[in-house]
Amino acid sequence: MHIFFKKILYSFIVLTLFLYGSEVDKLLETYSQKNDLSQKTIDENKGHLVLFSRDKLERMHAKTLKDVLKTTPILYYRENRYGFPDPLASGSFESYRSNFIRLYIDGVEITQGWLGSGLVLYGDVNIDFVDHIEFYYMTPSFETITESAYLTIFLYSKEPPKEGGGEVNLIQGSRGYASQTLNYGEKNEDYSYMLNFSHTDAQRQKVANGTDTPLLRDFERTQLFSYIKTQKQTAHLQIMKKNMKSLAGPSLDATPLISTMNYLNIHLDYSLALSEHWDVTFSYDWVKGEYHFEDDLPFVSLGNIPSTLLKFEGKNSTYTGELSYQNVFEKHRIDAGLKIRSKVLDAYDVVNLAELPFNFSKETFFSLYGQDQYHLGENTLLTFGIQYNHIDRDGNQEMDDLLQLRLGYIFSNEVWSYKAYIFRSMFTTDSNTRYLLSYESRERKPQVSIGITQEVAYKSEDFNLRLMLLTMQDENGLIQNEGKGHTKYFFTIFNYNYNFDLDNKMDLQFSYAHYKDIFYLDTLDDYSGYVSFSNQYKDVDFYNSVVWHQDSLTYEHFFDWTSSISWNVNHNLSFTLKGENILDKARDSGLIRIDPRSGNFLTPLSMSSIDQRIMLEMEYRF
Amino acid sequence: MYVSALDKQSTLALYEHLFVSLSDKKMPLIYVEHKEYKEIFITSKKMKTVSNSADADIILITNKDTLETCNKKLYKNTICFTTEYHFLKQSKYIVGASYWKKGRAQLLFIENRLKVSQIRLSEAYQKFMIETL
Repeated sequence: MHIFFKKILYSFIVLTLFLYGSEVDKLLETYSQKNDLSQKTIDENKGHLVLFSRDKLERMHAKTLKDVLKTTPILYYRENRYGFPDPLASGSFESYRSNFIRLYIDGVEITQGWLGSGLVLYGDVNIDFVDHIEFYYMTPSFETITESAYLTIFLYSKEPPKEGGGEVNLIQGSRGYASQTLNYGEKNEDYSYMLNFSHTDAQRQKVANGTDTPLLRDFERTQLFSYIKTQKQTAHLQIMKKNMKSLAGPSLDATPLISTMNYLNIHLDYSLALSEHWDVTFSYDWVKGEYHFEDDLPFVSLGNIPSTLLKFEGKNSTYTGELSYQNVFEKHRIDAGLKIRSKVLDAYDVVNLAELPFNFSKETFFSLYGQDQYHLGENTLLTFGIQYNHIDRDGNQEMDDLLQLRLGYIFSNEVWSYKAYIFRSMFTTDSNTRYLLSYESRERKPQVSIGITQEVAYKSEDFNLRLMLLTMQDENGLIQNEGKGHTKYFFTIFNYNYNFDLDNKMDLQFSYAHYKDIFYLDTLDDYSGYVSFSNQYKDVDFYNSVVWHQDSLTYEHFFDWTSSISWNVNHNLSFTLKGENILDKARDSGLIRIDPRSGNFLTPLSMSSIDQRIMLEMEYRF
Repeated sequence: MYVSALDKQSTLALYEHLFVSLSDKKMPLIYVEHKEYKEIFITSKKMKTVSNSADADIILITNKDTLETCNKKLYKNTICFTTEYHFLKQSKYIVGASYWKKGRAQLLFIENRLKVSQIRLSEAYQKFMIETL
């Protein structure tokens, strides 16, 4: 055969082999994606989805919800002056601002009752028990929420059929960081169960405050996550104990002598499928908090007496019950239900305060909702939802009635999808603020938020593209820019994900937020970007990501670079070296300070919520 | 409630490719006890399910019962393949596995076991091969 034709034939064979080889990769990749647990839980009608699949979380070596939240668009990880995870924190003196964000584990909300959102304690939770995480932006569907929200975070736990057996994970980090987790799960014919135990001892970066005693935010956390599931029933038990140094606390000039908080939290829930159409769920959340704050100058009034000491213990319980119905009538999918949530302040004992000045101790939410998803055609859906909440309070507190509406349109085929919503949501002052702060806050009328959101996405074999446009306006905002009018928001989020092949991927994200009349500012612009590369070569995995931030307050650029390299020794054992905030240039946020003598504002303290850290991790599966 | 339904299309596509490659027959006969896999494989036009392991060309091991069937090695020419990694260590007759690890589907073949069974896989599967366990 002529040499030229031999070369052609050889090239053809090589090309064929190459193509044939990649066919198996493609089959495996498609099989992975289609059988990912997230495909069983995603509900496109819950809102605008940002998904962190199991594969993505593993590539990121994300160990806590904080590792994920620092990369999310628009609302990202931030800590307030108490060291709580509080993405909406302003740096001011409010105890907690992120009640607009709600957290769920396996579909059941984790709530801190009096403090509101479960994000307070679970915002940096160890996620070793988690399979995937779904973030739904803006108006959520009413079958998921009891209290209003405009970001809902769903953590879904691992499943024994895929993750049977056990796993031990040990992490040792710089600056005295150590974490240990143990996970075990099993499935047999009738039931499956999982137990996950973790302990974290974190010495964190100190925050200089101009004194010899910098601010501390070290913590020790022990948590248990467990569940047992049958075909029709599910029960969860979660326990978390967290002792923490709480940064500035209520100290006006951020120079506390003592600032500590200790928590014990228990969550129990039980769900039962009564029939094909009826489900019932009960959950119980209990929190005990011990707080100790001391300063050299008075920072609080106890019975109208200025005090340099605030030491108190609070316990509260939240009981939630839900009865839901779902059925399909021709082209209509109907969801309806009744939810009741009762938040009870069990105890509140303050040192040096004989009697509390008010007797508000219980708040009960009654929620009735209905939703119709109507199939206009094979690929299109029209959805309408309505939710009515009645909030009953004791202690002569005002009751509230809330009406929420949601109208949506969804188009989706194999390549394109489009989503649009118009909504009206209402929010009330949270129990903690209502109880502790001035009468003015307590009697503030519910906030009404009206918004329009849109999303368009394109999906191909190798890449995904998505653009979201979200706009909203608050009326009677719970936190208002006094005398300036309603707060207005405009957000845009762009995502591009590219798969080079089975082992090499790139993710790109850009978001822009424009606020009008917020935080005593006329306008605020916030820009953020995220790029990540994950690569695999034989037994070694590489991950690199950079989160970039800039805003119109300072126009300073912030870069949070995370990098990891993993060696998979064999099927059971792997080692990982990971660096977080390697350049120590992650986003700063300001902590407001006031001179207690003059009442004048001082220069805000600047601090990053993301520690610079190097960690070595060992993972063993058995 | 928890629902562990396999995606039919992608599962069938993967296992058809796999089993046709493993067997030298045009229409291999498959024995599997797992209900979900059975329901998917029944729809295949490239392989056929059988109700008796003695008749199978390939046994897909998803539980301890079929593991024991394979270990007895009563049927000389039957190929054993599993969906559980730890079964690979419990039987020298299992030539490979399709399993989950950290959220990603994995494929693994053991070269010396394939040789004993006189199975020669195509180039497409070479990257999933290890010499011994």
